[in-house]
Amino acid sequence: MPESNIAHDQDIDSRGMFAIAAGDRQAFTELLERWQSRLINFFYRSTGNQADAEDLAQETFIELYRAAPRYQARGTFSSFLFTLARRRMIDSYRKQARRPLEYLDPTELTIQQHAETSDQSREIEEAFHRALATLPDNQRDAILLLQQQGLSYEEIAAALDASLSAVKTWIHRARTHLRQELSEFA
Amino acid sequence: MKTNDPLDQKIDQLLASQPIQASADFTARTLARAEADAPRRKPGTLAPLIRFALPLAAAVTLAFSIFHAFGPKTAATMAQAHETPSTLTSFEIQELLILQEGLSGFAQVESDEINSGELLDTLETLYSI
Repeated sequence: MPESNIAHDQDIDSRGMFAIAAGDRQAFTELLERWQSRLINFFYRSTGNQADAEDLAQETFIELYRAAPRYQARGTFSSFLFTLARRRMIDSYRKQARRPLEYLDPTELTIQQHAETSDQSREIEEAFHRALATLPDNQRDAILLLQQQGLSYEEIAAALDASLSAVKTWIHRARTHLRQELSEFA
Repeated sequence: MKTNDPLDQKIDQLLASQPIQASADFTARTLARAEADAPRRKPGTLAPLIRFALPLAAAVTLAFSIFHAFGPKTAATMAQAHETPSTLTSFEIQELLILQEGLSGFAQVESDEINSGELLDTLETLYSI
């Protein structure tokens, strides 16, 4: 996505938040439709389960709705949204007292998502999911925010409440780990 | 990450992919939840009262206690005071002040949005008594 479009989207989202704070429910609907797919897929890569991913996304949107009156467009909207998303994820880890990735059901994944894909694609997708599952949370969140969500390093640092150098290190380690785990597909 | 390595490219592709679509009713479900949440966000009618009543109650309690400790005494109480030492020690007065501090913290707790930090500070203050 070109930088100017990202800036434009940010403006739309910030305006949306102010409109929600003023009681405009349509603004919430629009924001929901604009971000739901990205947010659900972000959670899906961590939970490996669509229902859990949707629950977490829904809770994040409700949190966003509640936060609208306090929202100030200081950072970017995406870093604000993913700060909330990460908190939801941490809460879910605490509630379940174990990593949600343990719920990963490769059979479900296969049937649900990849029925029409080739065996090799399915195999690499499953290996990728397993590799992602074994990453520490910070590394997985950082690399997904960069590659899947298109956030800048600065936005990731803000969303994960970490330094820029820590974020760069996590992403580098995550990529090295993924390369190792998927080396057989090279 | 821009690289010509096929594995890196594959990893980039997998990372960037968004393999699932939201369920058809996701938007409706989320809006319904937000809708259900909305009435709770409206400030309650008791909120302004509580905001003023709690510090007022604390102030009255404090004033009453101080009056009892240092205020003008009747003949009977003066006679009693001669017999028994004052029951309100400086330590107890200090406790009352802390109690007032703690109760006034509740005034900052709004009914529509409970600020956990302020609530924790208030409870901590009360607990330390």
